[in-house]
Amino acid sequence: MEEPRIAALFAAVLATAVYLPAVGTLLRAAGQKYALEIFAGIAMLLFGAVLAMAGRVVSFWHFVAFFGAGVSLVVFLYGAVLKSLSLDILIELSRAEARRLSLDEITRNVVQPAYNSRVQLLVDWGAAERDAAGNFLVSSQGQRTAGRINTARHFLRLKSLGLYSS
Amino acid sequence: MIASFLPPPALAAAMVSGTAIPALLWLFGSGPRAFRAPGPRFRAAVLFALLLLLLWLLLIALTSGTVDLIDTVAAVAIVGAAAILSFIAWSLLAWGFTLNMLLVLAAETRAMSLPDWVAGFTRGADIGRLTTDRISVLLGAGFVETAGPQGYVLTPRGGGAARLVQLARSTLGIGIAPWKSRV
Repeated sequence: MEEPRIAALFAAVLATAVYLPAVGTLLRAAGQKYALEIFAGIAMLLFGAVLAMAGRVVSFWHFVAFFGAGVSLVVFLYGAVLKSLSLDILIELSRAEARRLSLDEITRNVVQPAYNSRVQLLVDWGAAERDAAGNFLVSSQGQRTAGRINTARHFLRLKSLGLYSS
Repeated sequence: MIASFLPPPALAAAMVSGTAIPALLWLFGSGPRAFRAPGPRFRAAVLFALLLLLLWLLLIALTSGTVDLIDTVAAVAIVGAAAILSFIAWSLLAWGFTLNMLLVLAAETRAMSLPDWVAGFTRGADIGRLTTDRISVLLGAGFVETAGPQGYVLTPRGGGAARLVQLARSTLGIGIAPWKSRV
């Protein structure tokens, strides 16, 4: 009884070690598009492959537990290194001379461009519109999305608004 | 073996404890004021889920005699996965940058200039407030130290973390930060 469970742990570590570079290779090839499909598709493929090849020697539920944790970690890591503004600041500091920057330099080099890119992203999604004067207003699609998000936040009694310190 | 399709008791207990995390997040929203903020509330929910798992495992050990270490590790992995997935959704709702920008814009009936939009996001401050907010995470982790009245310097730990982030970006096929290519 003990061996299939230990085998499941090793199989999951191995599968996760394959999962990470496989996902990275496909994301690079796809230009970071179809991320959800790539993450889910490769996870299912590896899951099926391990069960097909070693289903008799691997404990199913233990493999589910360990591989599930591995996949969750990879998904979290991807979201963090792709989108986290704090990590962008960290990288900018690591590239700076003497690894030192002023608040204004960080704002000018990282935070303001990141804000501008998110503005453009919302416009590209059709959630925000730009008027002739260059000002912004929410579109009807954006208003619907915001309504759904507010419903979820209201249900969870979340009152903060984007800032860690709020 | 695949033949035994029902999960072992320890793993079933972990699934119950893990799926309790979203419910606990909701529940603690009306709890003591100290737990209502998103960060403390998430930590409390995960801690409570782990406590729930511990109680389940104790109960299983009392009724069946023992809980094997590998079952305990698998159970913790399940609760860990549930915590990670919950955190992804929770952090998006509570602190998501783009998402909260949309909420600020949607709350306004008139068109907003970019500085007004920033002020709405930072509750009246300029964009430097957002910078200090995001740096507070790096300061808390010991990755960065203040250098002078308005400066920041990377610590050796922060340098190691930056190398790991760059390695992860490289492995996951992410080049330069996406915002650098679109302003």
